[in-house]
Amino acid sequence: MSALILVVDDDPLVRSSLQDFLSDAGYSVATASDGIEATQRFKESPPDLVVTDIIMPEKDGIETIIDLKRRSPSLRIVAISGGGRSRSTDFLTMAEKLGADATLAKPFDQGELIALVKRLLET
Amino acid sequence: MLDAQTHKFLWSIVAGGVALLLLGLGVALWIGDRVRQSMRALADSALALGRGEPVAAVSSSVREVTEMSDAEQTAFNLLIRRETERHEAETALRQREEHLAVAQGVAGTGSTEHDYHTGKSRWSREAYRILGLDPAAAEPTFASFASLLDEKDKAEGAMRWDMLKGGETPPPMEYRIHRPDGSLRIVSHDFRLISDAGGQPDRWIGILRDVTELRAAERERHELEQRFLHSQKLEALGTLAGGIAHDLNNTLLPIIGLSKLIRQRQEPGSRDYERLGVVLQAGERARELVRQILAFGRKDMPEKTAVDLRDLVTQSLTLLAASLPETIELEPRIEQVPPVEADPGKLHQVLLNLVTNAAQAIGDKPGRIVVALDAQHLPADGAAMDRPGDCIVRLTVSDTGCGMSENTLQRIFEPFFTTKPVGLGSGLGLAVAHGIVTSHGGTITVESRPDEGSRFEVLLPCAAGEAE
Repeated sequence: MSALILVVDDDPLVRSSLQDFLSDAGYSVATASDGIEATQRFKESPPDLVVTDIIMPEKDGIETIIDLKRRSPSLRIVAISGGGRSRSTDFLTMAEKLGADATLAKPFDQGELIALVKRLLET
Repeated sequence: MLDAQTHKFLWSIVAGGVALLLLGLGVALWIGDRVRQSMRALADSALALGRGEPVAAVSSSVREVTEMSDAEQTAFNLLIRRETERHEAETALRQREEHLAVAQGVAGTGSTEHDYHTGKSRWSREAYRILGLDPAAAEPTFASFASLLDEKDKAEGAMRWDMLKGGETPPPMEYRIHRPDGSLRIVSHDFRLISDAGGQPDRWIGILRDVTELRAAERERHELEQRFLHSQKLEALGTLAGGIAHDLNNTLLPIIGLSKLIRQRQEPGSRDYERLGVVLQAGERARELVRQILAFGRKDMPEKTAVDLRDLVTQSLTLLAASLPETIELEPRIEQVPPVEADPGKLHQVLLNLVTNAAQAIGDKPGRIVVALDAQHLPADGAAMDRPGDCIVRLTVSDTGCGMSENTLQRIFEPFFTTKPVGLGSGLGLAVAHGIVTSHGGTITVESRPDEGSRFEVLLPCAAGEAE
């Protein structure tokens, strides 16, 4: 059975693209549009890896990472971001410090994402 | 014959007469002496009065002498009063003149005056001081004033003097003067014409002020305001740019990612393969643009270490030289400089952006880019950075390119401001350079004229401990 990956992003175009990249590479994919939905999906069926955006309404990526890592410390998490809206903070660095296993700056392509996901699932 | 009795009678009359005569003579002599003495005393006191000395009262039984003495006393008292009044008036006048001179000194304002009737002029002590002239040596004339005037102000100055001569009040003007000690000052000279009862010009009074410091302070304040407004504008644009960049990156992810995905399924060389290649190229260009926008918008503190700019610039130029067209000559003038506290990657970006900008200004024509590095010491009154007198490192990039107009210069560091054709410049390179230099506590300025090339100057403070 293929690994289950949860994609969390508030942008539907990004969400569907990531779903496309991952399912094209043979992974099972679940999606959520914010942190609250992500926690629900996690409870329904715990994923092997989470790809989450940082800046989202309701519950942002940083909170989501802290929450999911608390629930499952071994869960692999990739933080993705298109750059901060607030200029003084580098969110990807912050996400990494708060528990993300790897980060990717948007825009990235399928090759970059799959290489990272593969590496994290193998370790 | 007279009888004896008659004879005796006659003799007694004669003897009595003589005795009376002698007595009368004695009395006359005595009275005359008294009068003479009074007159002498009167003459003495008159002489004393003439000398302005106190006058003693002359006591005399002669009424006229007493009256004369009283008159002298009155005259003396009058004299004393007049003298006292004159003395008081002189003191008051001297105090007022002193007051005026001190007030003029404190206010830094001198006065000049000319009398149309006598043709005489007078300058106050402060007026001489403002002009840097010696009151003992310089005549208070237009010629003295004109000899100090800067060449550019001579004609205007003469015109105003002619107006004064013709009884007209000239409009106010500020003159540049060169004092005999060589210093350049700015002085204002305003006039007020005073007419006599018949409406004819009687005299004029001029007010002379040294406004050099005032004008310098005004200019500095204006520059500070401009700098403040400029940095506020850049700040706002940075915030905006950060927001736009985030959304653009999200938008670009499907464009680049899915184009690549589909392209991999196409036959290389097919029409769709090529078309998707164009979409990807456009996506990549947009990605680069957003990267620059973020670099501009991000004001995070650079990770600073002590950097030897000589090494950094030399290495960067080696890389840059390879990417420049052969028609452009790159000339390094690198000196040994003290280290600066800086983020080497970011300073490399600054140099890259400045040299790229210079190369684009030169275009296809042959040209030269000079990159110079040296150390400087700010003058004590330098307003370029907040720490005057400090050691600074100066990096300049000069080109022989097309140069810039005044309008372009005003906006050169604004993000998205570009004079280049679409695709050649994002209008962010110099804005990014500005942001980086500013976050390093430095300044970046530019001098340029159309068709005469441009010169960008970056000043960076030396690392702590390098300041003398």
